[in-house]
Amino acid sequence: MPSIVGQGFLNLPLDAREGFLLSRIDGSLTEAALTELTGLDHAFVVASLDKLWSLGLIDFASEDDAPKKAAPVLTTRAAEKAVTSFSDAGGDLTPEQRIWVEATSIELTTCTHYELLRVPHDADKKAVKRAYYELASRCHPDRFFRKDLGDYKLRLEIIFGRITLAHDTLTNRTQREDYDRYLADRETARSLEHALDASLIEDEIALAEATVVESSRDPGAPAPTSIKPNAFDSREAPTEPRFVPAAASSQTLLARRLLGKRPGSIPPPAPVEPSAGGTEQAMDSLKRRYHQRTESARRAQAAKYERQGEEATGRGDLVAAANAFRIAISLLPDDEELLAKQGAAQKAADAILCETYERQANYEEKAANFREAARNWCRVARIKTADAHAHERAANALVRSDGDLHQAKELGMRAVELEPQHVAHRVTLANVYLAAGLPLNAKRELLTAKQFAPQDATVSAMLRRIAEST
Amino acid sequence: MATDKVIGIDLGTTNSCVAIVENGVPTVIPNRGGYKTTPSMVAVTEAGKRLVGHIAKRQAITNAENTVYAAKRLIGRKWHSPQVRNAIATSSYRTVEGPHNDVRIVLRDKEYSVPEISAMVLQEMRVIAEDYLGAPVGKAVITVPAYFNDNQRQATRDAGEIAGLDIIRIINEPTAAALSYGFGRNLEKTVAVYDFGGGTFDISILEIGQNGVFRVIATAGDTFLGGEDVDARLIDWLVQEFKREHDIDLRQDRMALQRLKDAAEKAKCELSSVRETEVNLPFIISSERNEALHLQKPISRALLEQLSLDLIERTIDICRQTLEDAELEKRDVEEVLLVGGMTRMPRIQQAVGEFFEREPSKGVHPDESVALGAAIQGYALVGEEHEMVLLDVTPHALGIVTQGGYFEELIPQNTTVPTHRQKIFTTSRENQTAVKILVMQGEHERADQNELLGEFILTGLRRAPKGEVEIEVTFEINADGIVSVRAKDLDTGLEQSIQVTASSGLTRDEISSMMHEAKDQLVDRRSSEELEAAKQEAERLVGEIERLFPQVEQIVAQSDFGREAIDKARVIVDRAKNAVTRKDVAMIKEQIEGLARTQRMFKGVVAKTI
Ligand SMILES: Nc1ncnc2c1ncn2[C@@H]1O[C@H](COP(=O)(O)OP(=O)(O)OP(=O)(O)O)[C@@H](O)[C@H]1O
Ligand SMILES: [Mg+2]
Repeated sequence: MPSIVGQGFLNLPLDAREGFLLSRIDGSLTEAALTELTGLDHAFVVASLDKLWSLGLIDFASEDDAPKKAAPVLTTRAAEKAVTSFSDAGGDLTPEQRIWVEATSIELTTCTHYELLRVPHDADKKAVKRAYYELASRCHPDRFFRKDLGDYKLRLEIIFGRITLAHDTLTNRTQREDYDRYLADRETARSLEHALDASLIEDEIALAEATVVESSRDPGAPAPTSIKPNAFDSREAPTEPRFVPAAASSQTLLARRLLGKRPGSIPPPAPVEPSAGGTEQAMDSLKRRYHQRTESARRAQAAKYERQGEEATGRGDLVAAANAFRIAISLLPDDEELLAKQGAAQKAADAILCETYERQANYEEKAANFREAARNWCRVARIKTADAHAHERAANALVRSDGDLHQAKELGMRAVELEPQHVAHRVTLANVYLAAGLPLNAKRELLTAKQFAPQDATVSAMLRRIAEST
Repeated sequence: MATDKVIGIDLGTTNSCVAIVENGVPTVIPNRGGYKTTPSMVAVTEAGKRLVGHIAKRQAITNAENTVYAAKRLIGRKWHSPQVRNAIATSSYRTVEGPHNDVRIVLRDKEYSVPEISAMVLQEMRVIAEDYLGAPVGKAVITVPAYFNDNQRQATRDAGEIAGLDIIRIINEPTAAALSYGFGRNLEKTVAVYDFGGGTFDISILEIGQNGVFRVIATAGDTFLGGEDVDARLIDWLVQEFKREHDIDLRQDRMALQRLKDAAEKAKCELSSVRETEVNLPFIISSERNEALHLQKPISRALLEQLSLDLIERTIDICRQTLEDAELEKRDVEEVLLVGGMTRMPRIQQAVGEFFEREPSKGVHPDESVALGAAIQGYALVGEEHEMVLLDVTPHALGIVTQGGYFEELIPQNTTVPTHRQKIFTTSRENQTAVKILVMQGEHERADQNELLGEFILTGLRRAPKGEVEIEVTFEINADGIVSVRAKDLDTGLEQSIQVTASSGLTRDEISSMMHEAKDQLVDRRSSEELEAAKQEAERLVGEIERLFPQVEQIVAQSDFGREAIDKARVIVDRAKNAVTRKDVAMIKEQIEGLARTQRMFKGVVAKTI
């Protein structure tokens, strides 16, 4: 999908969700209706509407004292205000049409086919078609027959092409299945990332700790049973992350987790100091008893979580398992066996996560969406640190999507390091260097590759090309 | 004042039809004879006069060699193509190869391109509309068979241009029929349009949705399968029978062949309503002993059906394939529309009904719905209230030729337009510095089986081993169906592109000179009507004046004044006669006034004295 570059409107400080919201405003939907329609958080809708209003993009229909309760509209005045900020020539389009085109253009880059057509995931063919027809009747180029559309012509065509792709994909059974699998992978990955988010179990750890303290004080008291299962049950994990800035934060959290730092673990208990004297002895034994009680309570708690972890493993809920083990470990940080179990569960969860990333990346590569493909290959590479292929694909996708070349270089180098004799890795790395304007490095890489494969046509051709250009 | 209204023209193989939307109502415009369709026939008389329509059809037998019918079968085709070879083998008019491998038709020693012939028909349709509207018409939507390729479409566009029309859109015939069916009815339905006309067969499956959206799902057809082919079967049979009886090949005689053609078609049409008819052609030919032979044969409906069974079967096979392409089941099709004169044949109605497992609809007029749909599309495009949008598809795949003569598809068949697709290709030879991009259209894996639409060369490629230079090729089809192709050297960023103006067989210059000629022709024709009227009026007046001359001379000869008046009158009469021989309308009209005055004066003189 070609991305849209434009000035004016496209330079307004809006993000995709705000663009999405803007594109839904039709003058009749109220704030509440918009919230419901978009599935966005109500607070977010309110804040965004304020922002859109302050940018002069929208106005509110009614003039009573609670204007914000009224339906926001793209009033001509407000629309014109926005339009004057466009440097693009819009020809015969009305300001409302321009806004619609602009907002939809923003939306295109991120939204799913379902979001674009504004249909729910379980929409049947008929509903998809209706939605498509509704949009198509609005943006088919024939609607603007022999009109001067200026810069908007291309954008309208892109929008039409994209809604047609959405329609074609969602009305074809196999294509929709593929696409749904892709979305499911994306969703799974997001909720896994979310569920594995260490901060989520901090509360649970604190609770477990409190329970330990509690039961050591009063051995007769029953162990608290109020463990919120959904705090670490992936199936129940809130599906919120769709609209929280999930991508960035959970990514860093994931990275942090992969680096082995586990926030929220409590320091091991201080060693008990040896002491002398009667009272001291009494104190001592009291302390020891207290300590023993704590210890056994701690162990009991840990055992409980361990059991939960095992049960979760049994039913294949790897996230719940990993989280349960992590809580157990926070209670007994030195327990080798627990560590091993937690490691295994974590590894299994990572494997699933990794698979989804890989499938997404492959789908995106097929759809020539290299920007997204690069992101997912990078994630795979971060988990499978010894997977040369993933590193190479990531580097390749980054180059093809004009991504971060520094990162591409690191990935390419790692691929080469993992499989030094693999010519393709070196070629990719050489391409990274070339893209970064480092022909000498590229040359070095290719010369090495040539040693392994003296006959390789691509390698010699690239070498010749470098020789020619320098 | 030229009207902004857009006319819709169904330029058929055998019949053409013109329609317009008036006050939101699509209406077919009848010709001067009161007929709603006009034969797509063009003739040139011995006197060099051009005839179009019914009048051309009427003289077809006596002037077979100078009468063109079914020109649509030749439009946009190459001289050497099997279809052209086939078509001209049985045609009564003469054809020669044109300068661009195209077909030229020879009428009275003058060569005409096929678009020129079609332009004559279009011009006729335009005049029919102008007469009806009382204003010049500039814009038109023309229909073509859905399965026409871009060369044929372009040639049709050229014909429109030659006829002085701004062709704002070319749409597919079955689609047009669906538009006329669904327009303003607020339906939500999947329909199949089975269009079996004089020269072509088309099938389209469309979805009519709310918001006035008409989406074509799949379309296919055969541009060489029509009523003409059914007629040919009957002719073959009659020729064979005659040969068996008299050992004479009627095909050798052009006049006999033309009569046979007419009779066969007539019999075919009759058999749609009766079970038995007779072909009766007295004095069809003379025997070697110079005795007159007659052709007299009873023909039953069953015989006709047997002779055309495989043709009908072919249409059904195409329906099956199209349904498959549309990924639909028979039961998904909620309505079957029959379009084209051939669908009046009971056997065809039955076959279609059996295949789709539903009684075909009587909801559209088989002869008029296509023109109506074209008018509707024109109305929707230029009108302000957009009541409908047509989402059409490409009937043929588009792609380029790759190494080894293979066709590499970029845009598949039945892709919704407008659309654009990209693919990356590499060089196929060592140190290749240029690539030739051949833009093709068709479904065959072998490129040479497909239609060449255009070509261009991307040069300045880096010298490199084969397979190494990457070239990104982008195809784009816009809403007008115009194809553009762009090739970009990914190495250097060098780019080449063309807008594929499919070759209609005519150059720009040829089209514009033909256009001017056609305009001249129209002026000619128009003025000849005017001339006729003026001439008659002048001749009437001259006759009357001349009748009165002796009397008047007698009465006024004595006075100088009288003599002068008589001399003046003579001058006027001479001038008028002169103008009539020169066929100068303006001059005749000028003289008419003087003649009328003279006549009044003479009458007065005579009356006074009686
Ligand atoms: N009653 C009838 N029974 C059988 N055939 C008929 C009847 N009436 C007309 N036809 C045939 O239909 C054909 C003409 O149909 P139509 O006018 O729809 O074709 P067209 O639009 O000129 O051609 P095309 O659409 O293929 O370019 C002729 O072959 C004619 O003989
Ligand atoms: Mg027809």
